[in-house]
Amino acid sequence: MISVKKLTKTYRIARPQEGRFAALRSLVRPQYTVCRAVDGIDFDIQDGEVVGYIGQNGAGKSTTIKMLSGILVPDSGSVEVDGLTPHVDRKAHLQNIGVVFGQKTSLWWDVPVIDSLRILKEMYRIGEGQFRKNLEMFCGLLDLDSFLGQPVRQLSLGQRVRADLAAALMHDPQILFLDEPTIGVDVVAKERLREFILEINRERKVTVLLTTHDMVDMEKLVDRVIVINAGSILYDGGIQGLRERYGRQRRMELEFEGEPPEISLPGVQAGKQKDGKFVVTFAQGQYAVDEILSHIRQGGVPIRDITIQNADIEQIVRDIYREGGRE
Amino acid sequence: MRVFGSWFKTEMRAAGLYRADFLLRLCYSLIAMYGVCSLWRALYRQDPGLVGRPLPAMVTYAMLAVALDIIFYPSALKSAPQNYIADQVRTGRIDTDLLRPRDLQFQLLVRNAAVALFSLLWLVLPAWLLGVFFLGMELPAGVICTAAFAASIVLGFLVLFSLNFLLGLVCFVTLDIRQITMAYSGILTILSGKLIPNWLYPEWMQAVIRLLPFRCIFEMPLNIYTGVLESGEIVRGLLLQGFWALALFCLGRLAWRKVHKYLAVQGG
Ligand SMILES: Nc1ncnc2c1ncn2[C@@H]1O[C@H](COP(=O)(O)OP(=O)(O)OP(=O)(O)O)[C@@H](O)[C@H]1O
Ligand SMILES: [Mg+2]
Repeated sequence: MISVKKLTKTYRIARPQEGRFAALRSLVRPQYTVCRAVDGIDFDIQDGEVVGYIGQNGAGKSTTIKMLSGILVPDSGSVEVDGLTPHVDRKAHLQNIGVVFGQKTSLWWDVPVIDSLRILKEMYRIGEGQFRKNLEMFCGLLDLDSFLGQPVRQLSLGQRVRADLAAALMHDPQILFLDEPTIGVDVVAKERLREFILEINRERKVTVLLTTHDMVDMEKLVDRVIVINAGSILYDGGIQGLRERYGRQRRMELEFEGEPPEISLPGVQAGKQKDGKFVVTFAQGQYAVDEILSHIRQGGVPIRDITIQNADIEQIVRDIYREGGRE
Repeated sequence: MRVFGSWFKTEMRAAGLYRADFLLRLCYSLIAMYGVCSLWRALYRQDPGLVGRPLPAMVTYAMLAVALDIIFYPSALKSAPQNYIADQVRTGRIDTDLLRPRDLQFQLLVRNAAVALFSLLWLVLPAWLLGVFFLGMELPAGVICTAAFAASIVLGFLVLFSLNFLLGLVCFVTLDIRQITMAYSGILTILSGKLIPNWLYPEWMQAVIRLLPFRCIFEMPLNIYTGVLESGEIVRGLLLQGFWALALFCLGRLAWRKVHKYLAVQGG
């Protein structure tokens, strides 16, 4: 169980100085700009949950993950993971968690993957039986066999992430932090990663907290979403709730027998898309579908086909980010 | 220590991945050995009393220094702590090292020692054999001398490792240590007894050198090997090396704790 209370983290960034002896002065008395990356967040994560942690670039996701894994010390507030404070009980905590940063490998660059795993076996004091069992399982689920003997620098990105995932799980952690695990991975490989994460969550009851910019990850993986913006939490709850609370946009796709008519209703956007579809979007509460349709019919052009959708999750998230949570 | 056997072995195997590099390195060392050998012979022809040691002992000293340089040059090995830290900091991968349930200093020691041992077996030893058979290097003066020499190399390595680690820590703060590394290598070359035997320096400089740890890296093992030290001096030399190794290692530990705290608070 993970419990985060009033957590804040501020980075101090040395500001380059100008004028005479600038270099010297910045050594003697450096000046800083302050960047509040995480600004008083609270959440609890129960054992066995899969939680998606999303937010715009620079929202503070990685910073939170780093505090949860004990790399960074919070300025104030508290973090507790399975009864341990990450940055205090560092070693014990690190035995309990697995971490994967999608952008950087934690494996030995020049060493065959299998040897990296062996080194980890020693570092984490993994027993031979456990090592064998895990290796077999991950080889099966992640298809590691074909590149187990290759050094990491020769792996494709998708292979590398798979190897990193296996490495993060060799010591049977009960908690997994994934920072953008699917970044730059192709659709097929992404699908396999997702299945693997779900499998691990199902079979081993591993708690997963993952950040991503991929909304398909959200829909397929996650029970619960935490949205963070500029260091503060905007939303914490199920995907369905996110739809209900923010999914106010509706979307109508139309095909006409001739030239599409002008639509001039306040608050309604309409226009032809690249693929020739005519798309109308409007706010849920503002207009009924019938009002929009009768307005279009006034143009006199017969409608050939029509589909109406709720906004997809990507659209919703885009709206949240754009408004920064203003409702 | 047995627990880390396979970690150590894997690191050693990884060191062997660059065979071509290895062969080139060996060629380079042999040429350099031949070079210093010729240089000292020429100097002795000018003035046999110049150095105060017999020619074979001096030639052995100089050539062995070149051979040991393969593992004792401060940044010879890619796995040397300061190189590794600089690399990881530059690429941002240092986070992943901090995610291990082992102390960074210990991780680096295992890695560096494994590669050094590998290089010792596959480079220094061949270079030494070739030196003995073809360039007139002497054998160590007796069994005790050999054992003391082996111990002295291990201690010398620990001193160097600890100094390198301290240098690596600077990287966390300044991000770039290339300039400092250059100065550091220069100081080591001049004061460690590798290029110029320390007893050739003026008295005041020798006094300074005696206060510094650098001579523990080359001068001690080389003096032990060439048999110029009495047994009492050997013991004192080893103790001094042990003192510096321990002191610098502990200093590195303390400094790392400080730097680690700084990193965790400042966010790198
Ligand atoms: N080491 C650092 N030093 C100074 N500022 C930093 C540092 N790391 C992050 N920041 C700043 O903190 C803020 C939050 O960064 P963070 O990496 O947590 O964002 P993120 O949500 O992970 O973004 P992304 O989706 O791009 O990965 C950003 O404004 C960033 O510029
Ligand atoms: Mg990030």
